[in-house]
Amino acid sequence: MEQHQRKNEVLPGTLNLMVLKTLSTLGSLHGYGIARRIEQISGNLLQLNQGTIYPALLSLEQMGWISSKWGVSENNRRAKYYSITRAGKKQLAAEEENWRRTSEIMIRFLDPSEEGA
Amino acid sequence: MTRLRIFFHRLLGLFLRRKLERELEEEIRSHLEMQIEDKLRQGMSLEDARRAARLRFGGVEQVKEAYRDKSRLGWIESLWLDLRYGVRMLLKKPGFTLMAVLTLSLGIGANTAIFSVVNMFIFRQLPVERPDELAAVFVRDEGEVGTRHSYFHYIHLRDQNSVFSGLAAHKMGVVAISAEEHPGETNDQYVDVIRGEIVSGNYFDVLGVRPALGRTFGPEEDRAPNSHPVVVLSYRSWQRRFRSDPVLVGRAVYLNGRPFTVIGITPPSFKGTEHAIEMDFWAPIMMQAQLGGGAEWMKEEGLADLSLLGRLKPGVTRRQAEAHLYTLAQGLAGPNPGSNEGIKFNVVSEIEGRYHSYFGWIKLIAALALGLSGLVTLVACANVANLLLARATARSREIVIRLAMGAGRWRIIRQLLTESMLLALLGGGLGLLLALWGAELMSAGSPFIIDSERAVVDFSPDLRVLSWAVIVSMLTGLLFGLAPAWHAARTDLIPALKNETGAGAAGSRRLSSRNLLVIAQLSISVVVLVSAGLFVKALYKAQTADAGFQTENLLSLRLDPGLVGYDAARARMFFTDLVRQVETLPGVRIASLSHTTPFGGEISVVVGIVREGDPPPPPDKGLDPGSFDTQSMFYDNPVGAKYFETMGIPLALGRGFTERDHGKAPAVVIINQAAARRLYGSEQQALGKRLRDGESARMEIVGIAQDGNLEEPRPSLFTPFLQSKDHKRMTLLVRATSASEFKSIAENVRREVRKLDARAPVFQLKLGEDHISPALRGPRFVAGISMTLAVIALTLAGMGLYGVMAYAVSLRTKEIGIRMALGARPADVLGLVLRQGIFLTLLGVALGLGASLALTRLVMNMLYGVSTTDPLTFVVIALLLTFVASLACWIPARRATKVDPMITLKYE
Repeated sequence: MEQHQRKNEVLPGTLNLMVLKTLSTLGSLHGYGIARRIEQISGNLLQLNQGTIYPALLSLEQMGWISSKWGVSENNRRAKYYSITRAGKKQLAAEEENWRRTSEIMIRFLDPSEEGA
Repeated sequence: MTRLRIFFHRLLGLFLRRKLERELEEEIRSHLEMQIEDKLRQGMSLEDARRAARLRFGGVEQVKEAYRDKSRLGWIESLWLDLRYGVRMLLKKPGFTLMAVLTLSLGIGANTAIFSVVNMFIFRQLPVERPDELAAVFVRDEGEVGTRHSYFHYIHLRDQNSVFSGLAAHKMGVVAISAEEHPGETNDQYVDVIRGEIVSGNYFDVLGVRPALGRTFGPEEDRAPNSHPVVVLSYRSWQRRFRSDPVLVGRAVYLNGRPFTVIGITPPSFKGTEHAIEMDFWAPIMMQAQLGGGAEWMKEEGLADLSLLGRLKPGVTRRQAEAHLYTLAQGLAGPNPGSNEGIKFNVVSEIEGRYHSYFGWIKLIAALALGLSGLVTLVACANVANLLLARATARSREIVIRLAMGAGRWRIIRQLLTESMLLALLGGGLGLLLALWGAELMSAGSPFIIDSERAVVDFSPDLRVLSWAVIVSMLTGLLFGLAPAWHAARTDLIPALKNETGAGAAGSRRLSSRNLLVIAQLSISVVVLVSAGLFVKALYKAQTADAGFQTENLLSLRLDPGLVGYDAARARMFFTDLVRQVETLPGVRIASLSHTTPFGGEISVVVGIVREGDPPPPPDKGLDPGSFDTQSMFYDNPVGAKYFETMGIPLALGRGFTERDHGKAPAVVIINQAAARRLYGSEQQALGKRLRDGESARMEIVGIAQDGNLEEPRPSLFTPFLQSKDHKRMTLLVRATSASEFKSIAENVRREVRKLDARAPVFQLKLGEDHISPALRGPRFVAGISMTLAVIALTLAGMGLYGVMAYAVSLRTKEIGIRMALGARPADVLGLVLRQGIFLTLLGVALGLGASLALTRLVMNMLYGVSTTDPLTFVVIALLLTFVASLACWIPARRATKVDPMITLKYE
């Protein structure tokens, strides 16, 4: 009997954040690279259809947080490379702060040592 | 800010669609290949690698859809698709499309036509700068609203107010105009009479009208009487009368025989500010004495004939101005103590000022007309809705397949609605064209005309009318499109796929939506028809009413030698000579004169008339019209000898005037029945008695004239023209032996006039029925409009009923076939089909009659003497509609009987 790994679905909105963080850390990357990286970091605990990254990339580009350029990949393949913009970096910082605060509050609520005396 | 970015990106995406698609394809391919490579490196076989890659990626099509959704403006895309699809569907069934578009064009066109006329009279502003700042001033004295002021009041208001940036005065005037000083003596030129406005110096400035040529008036025109003989001509008169002479400005023309310098020409769009009539000239108030006003006009405080029009200062509302004028009114001390007490001023819109006191009546007619035309539009909508319902059933397969393939119901509804909107806009466009044409017809018959002047009709495309047409089209599109679309989207999948939408489906239910629509159509048509019927009846009554005189073979012309300087004595001689000459003309039976004619538009009153022996009437509290003692006020009319015979007015008692009632003979008077009743209670009592006017003159009542009933008879006095005072404008009345003599008589009369004095202006020729047409114009207009609408409604309802019946028959073809195979006779089938139709008809007519009874009560006061429950009209309408409906049912019913049972039974 295989142990079914419980995989979380990607919360809407968090994908954007993950992409931004990835690009901020790794610099310019193509779509496949971003998807692989996200899978890696989440330790394969995230159920992600890789294709969904492309509409997300489009959204981010429309909002001006990333920019794209066609280039050549490692294996001589034409690929579209994405990089984070300055506005994107600002957005990333803001969202990171938001997440930290939210999780702090939630953890405090859910911490059993806090319940009653 | 971000949203704007996104919007622009997506807009761009619309245009770069293909490029974006290609790039995405490439990206996805690249992605998959890279994934496959990775898997290969992990040791998978090519097949497994490919499968794994695809799995990890997810559904490619979904990704593409999601990408597409974000890359473009989705709704524009769908709209465009819907439109293209809609156009294709409409082109596929040209018959249906044509029918629907025509029906809609009738319905929307009728509505728009009426609106464009209403717009012309009620909404359209003057073609001047910032017309919404203009306002007119009315006066209210003891409850009576007057629209005209005295010069004295005007100056006071103009100089003392602080709410108007400018206050102008204007009034209508009629003058004789010629380009030569002595026309007719050396050439064949007639003197023409034209209508215009006599205005204050700031008139054009207040309005903001820039001249097309030359200049307009300024403050110098207001300085002193008779100092500035200048005139501004209208563009039209410049074009027509002076053939667009480029050097006319600066030259003199002759108004009433006196030279006036033309200083400017108004732009073609400006036509004046009175009654929506086209004016030919504008002259300064200060020149009044030469333009028909008396020489002492400035001193006559009782003379209130000026309309006031002002431009409100920015930010000042009409109500504020009214309050301000209220305080100013206190300062209006009149010559007689207490004469101006209690005076209030109303500040109204410029448009209302145009129509003086009959604006309310105009609005009522407009509302009525719009209401009726709205009903017609509803009938058209019902028709098209029915057509769409029938179509929907035919298209159910197509719809159902789309539903099965995953289209949301909402998407289907949207698509069907787009088709409806398309139809509506097409119908609306065509309707707009029809409307422009129809509006022109209507304005020609409109009642807002003085004498024979045409109302200003300006058909330049008006944004308001256009918007109205578009809005009405879209509303009708929604109205008739929503129900069928929703109904279609509810189609059950399985029966539709199996093509079982035949018998048993919607159409054969008794009160299906189609039938309900037809019933609605029929009842609405009944309402429209009944209204039309009642108005036509009212018109008939007006036309056959006794006008009080005979119009057949009656010809009249107005003459005003006073305009060229005649004094009273000379005018009397002129007229006496003229009548004598005219009576010798061939084709003339008898001729006479009168100062005013019934329904002629001009009235003349005399005050202070009492019976001999009665105390004199109370002194006027001032000469403001509101303060006259109405008991001693009568309409008066100085007339020539043989007036009553010429006009065909019967005398109830006594005699008419003769040549012996001249200046040196005893003073006599003839009064009408209404006057006799007021003064003496009865005609018999009145004959032979004497009346006194304010001065000591005593007149013997020698005759009582009979009243007509076309309008409420006003108590009137007739005096012999030779015994009357100052009347230089008279109408020449001629009773011809037959109407065919009219033309030659008119020419001969003009010739006689010119023989007497070539400068004397002759105008306003009226023949026969023209004499009462002003009283008939209102009823005629209303009757005409409602009849047209009724015909349209009836046609549409008939078509609608026909459509439904034909469809019902087609549904029951199989059933009919079986019946006939089983031995039913054609007559039975006919009866079967007709029964359904008659049922619908009767229901519709009954509902309609009920609604009519209720609604026509609302318009009671428009129906000149016709009771709203006039049974004959209702019965006739009911029968008419039943007849038309039966015809509409009969044709498809007959076709039903021709059904060949063998064929229908085989068609399974």
